[in-house]
Amino acid sequence: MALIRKIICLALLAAAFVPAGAQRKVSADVEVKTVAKGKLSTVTKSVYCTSNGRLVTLYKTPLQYYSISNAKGEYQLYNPSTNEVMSQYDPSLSSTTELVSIFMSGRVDDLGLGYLGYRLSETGREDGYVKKSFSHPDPLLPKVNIVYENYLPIYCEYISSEGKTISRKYLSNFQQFGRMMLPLRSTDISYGSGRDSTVVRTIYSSVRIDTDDPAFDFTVPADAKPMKLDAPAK
Amino acid sequence: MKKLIVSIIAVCAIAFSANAASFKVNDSAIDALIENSTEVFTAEFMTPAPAASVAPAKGEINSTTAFLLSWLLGEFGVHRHYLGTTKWMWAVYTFTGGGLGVLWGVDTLLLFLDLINVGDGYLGKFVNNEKIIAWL
Repeated sequence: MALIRKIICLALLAAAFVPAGAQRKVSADVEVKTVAKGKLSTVTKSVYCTSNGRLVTLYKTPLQYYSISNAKGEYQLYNPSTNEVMSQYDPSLSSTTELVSIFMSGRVDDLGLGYLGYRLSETGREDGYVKKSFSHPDPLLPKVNIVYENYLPIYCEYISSEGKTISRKYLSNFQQFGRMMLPLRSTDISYGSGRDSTVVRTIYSSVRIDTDDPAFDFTVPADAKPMKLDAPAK
Repeated sequence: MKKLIVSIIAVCAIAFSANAASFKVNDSAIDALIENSTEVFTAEFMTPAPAASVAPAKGEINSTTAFLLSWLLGEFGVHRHYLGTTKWMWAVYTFTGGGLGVLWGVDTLLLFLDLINVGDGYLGKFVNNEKIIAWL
């Protein structure tokens, strides 16, 4: 009987440490539209996130490329048309900065800021919404405020050390995929001089959970040549 | 020209509305803004750029390389280091998710415009620029 109690306790403890939104594999199509000074650029890509931190991104337009990264920051960039690859190791290239990766791993509360060294500095309410402020030990880095609705982050603003709002991020159209809630629409507005602003809209679609797409396991061919970065785009 | 004016008005409207104490964005205004903007990533991009546009702008700096680094690794500020910024710029980009994707997006757009010889030497704005927002 004591053994059964121990097993139940261990199982409950293990369950408590599994992130609420954890999924094994998540993929999505992503369209990023950037508007600045009347000009629009569109990038389309598909992301393939695995719970072990591996992220495969297939850029589709305007050029087809693959990038493969992991949570440690090991990064490969592969051009299938020329069979060239660039490999890098840098913790700043970690896969944990991708929105899908953040939500699939359950780091919803701070949008992954904690992973980057940010700490919760203040909690309060504004206009009926819960608002949390996060600060980084480096005073040069911006302060971040996140606003929640129904425990989901819907708004995020970056405040410079001078107290000016640098940019705002709006997350909307949350939908449930398995155990994960994911915002299918992200809108970023940055503030330049005067009223000159830039808008970036990111739309996630075709979110797939735990499918067996071969892209999750994409690896760079062994015979790929080192990428010549100073060559013109082909 | 009409599209540009409509876009600028829409951007101003969005910026103004976003400055209000609101935590939700006006989606229809964003849709209108995107609809009224001129697409610059066109099929012509898929063909090699003219030789003049890919010539090094300054020393070893190559506009194609700068654009590719921005497009593919810009969320981490790699292109800024290539273009000669301070050693901490990667941290700013990474910690803010490429400036919430905005810095990355605009950098990529401007470097692309420079690549196809549109605008007034956007690449030069980035070279050895220590400011977080290089294009201001």
